[in-house]
Amino acid sequence: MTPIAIPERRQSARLENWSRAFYRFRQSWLSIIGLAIVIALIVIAIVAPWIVPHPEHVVGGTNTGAKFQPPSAAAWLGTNALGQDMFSLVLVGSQVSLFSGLAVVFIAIVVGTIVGAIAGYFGGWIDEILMRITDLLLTIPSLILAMAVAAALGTGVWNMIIAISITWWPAYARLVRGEVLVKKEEQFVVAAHALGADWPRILGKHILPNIVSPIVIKASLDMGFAILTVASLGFVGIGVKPPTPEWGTLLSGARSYMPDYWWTAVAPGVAIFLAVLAFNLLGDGLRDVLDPKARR
Amino acid sequence: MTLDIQNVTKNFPGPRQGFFGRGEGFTALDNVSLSIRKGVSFGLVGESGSGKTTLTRCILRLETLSAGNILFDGVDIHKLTPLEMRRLRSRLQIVFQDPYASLDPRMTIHDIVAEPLVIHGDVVNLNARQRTERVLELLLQVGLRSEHLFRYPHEFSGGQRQRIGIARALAVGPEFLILDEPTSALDVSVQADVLNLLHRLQEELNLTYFFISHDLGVIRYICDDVAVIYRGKLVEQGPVAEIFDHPKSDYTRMLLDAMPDPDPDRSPFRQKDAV
Repeated sequence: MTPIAIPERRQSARLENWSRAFYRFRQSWLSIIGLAIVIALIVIAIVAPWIVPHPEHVVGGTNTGAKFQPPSAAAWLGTNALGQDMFSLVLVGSQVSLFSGLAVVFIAIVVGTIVGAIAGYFGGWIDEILMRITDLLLTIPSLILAMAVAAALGTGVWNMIIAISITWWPAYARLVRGEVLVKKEEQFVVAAHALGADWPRILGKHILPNIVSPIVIKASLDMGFAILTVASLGFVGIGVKPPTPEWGTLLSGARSYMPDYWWTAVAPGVAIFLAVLAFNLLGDGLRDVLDPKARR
Repeated sequence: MTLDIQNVTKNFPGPRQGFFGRGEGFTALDNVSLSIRKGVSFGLVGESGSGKTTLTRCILRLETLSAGNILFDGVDIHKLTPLEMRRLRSRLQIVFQDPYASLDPRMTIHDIVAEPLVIHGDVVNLNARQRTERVLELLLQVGLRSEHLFRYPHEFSGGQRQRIGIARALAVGPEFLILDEPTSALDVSVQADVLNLLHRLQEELNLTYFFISHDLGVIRYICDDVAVIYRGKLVEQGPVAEIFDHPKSDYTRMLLDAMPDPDPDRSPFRQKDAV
């Protein structure tokens, strides 16, 4: 028998799907704005330490001689009670917010997917036990739990992230369980059983790749709320310790100087607003692309 | 004997009622016995809900039995350990009815057809390169072309997808193939192509077919022996020619009468006085 030539791996089908998806995404200019702001935020968070006009203020340096300067050419967003440049603080503050938001969503996805997939796939009493634990955790308000964790373990970025994640993964577990229950009955999964595939293979190769879309949509919509929760914890004084700048902490510091020195509150407030809005717009756009059925 | 189904009964329990009670169950298979000789095409005919698919699921051990045994080459399938069962699956494969739902939409044709080779790596023992060559060989064997290798299922027609399903079933070189209504989701013209392909493959690879269908024409075309199932019970079984020409039971006779005749002159819709 003559050897058969193996053709080149053809990527155009996948490429075509992507370009079609991007075309649908572009149809909504709100999604594009969301994507643009999200990309800008990520870039700013990465390069912030090198572009801030006053790096010394970010690490705790003060300049009390220049306190409460209104926005001007020298200090674009004015200065706060310690004479620190608000623009520098807000820029660097994006690091903590974005990082914590990403970490919370990431941990929630990993834990939620594992628990949800196992519960949905195996069913029976495993499902009952895992889902009752999930329901139990869903009843705990994340802010209160975070305060309790902060009280028990002390404040800190990681304690805050863990505290929020504990109350966030159940939502993913419920989502993934539902999707797994549906996909489990699909015929290509039955086919994999008949081929002799074991459960890790069926879950990992057949079921999970087919439920990525709803997880991605939920994650992008959740990012905004995660950032908001992180800021809330900063506002009530849990989470990042000064002098590390964080939007919630900055806002809480500005609270007592309202409304005379409004810029100290407006700068971090607008940053939080923009971040939350951008991730929500992006999430809506992704949902339209990945899950056309849910379109309004 | 290759496959021996002995007095198989399958009950599905009814819905839970209260704490301990259960509603009335459903008997999908009632004392079904049949044996399939090596190298033949055995047809199973029955209407929707008569238990055809439940029987295939029982043979593949996707369902447990309520009673009875299923022997493959003298070995009781439902008594094997999971490892032995996995080994046996490489000799016993299935082609599904719906070619649209039975292929994973996120996998390329290469990965779909190569999957059984990976799962049964201890039996076939090929490296990645050899697997790709084997997949290509299979695709050509079922009438697809080499440029289809890295495409996704949604790029194919129903008939082509069914060929992919057949290639996947044949990948590890099984002896026994369950064909669960492999042509009922296809256009008539494509059905003929797929049936001819199955016929050719059976001769080339010396396969035993367990062919399930509700289409008597298809059964007559491809099968040597046939069994008729009605509401979970076997009505009769025997060689195709005998059953088709001299049906013993009323149900079989009714099925045969309901079969449309391809000859338009004998159509019941033909107007009597028209010439």
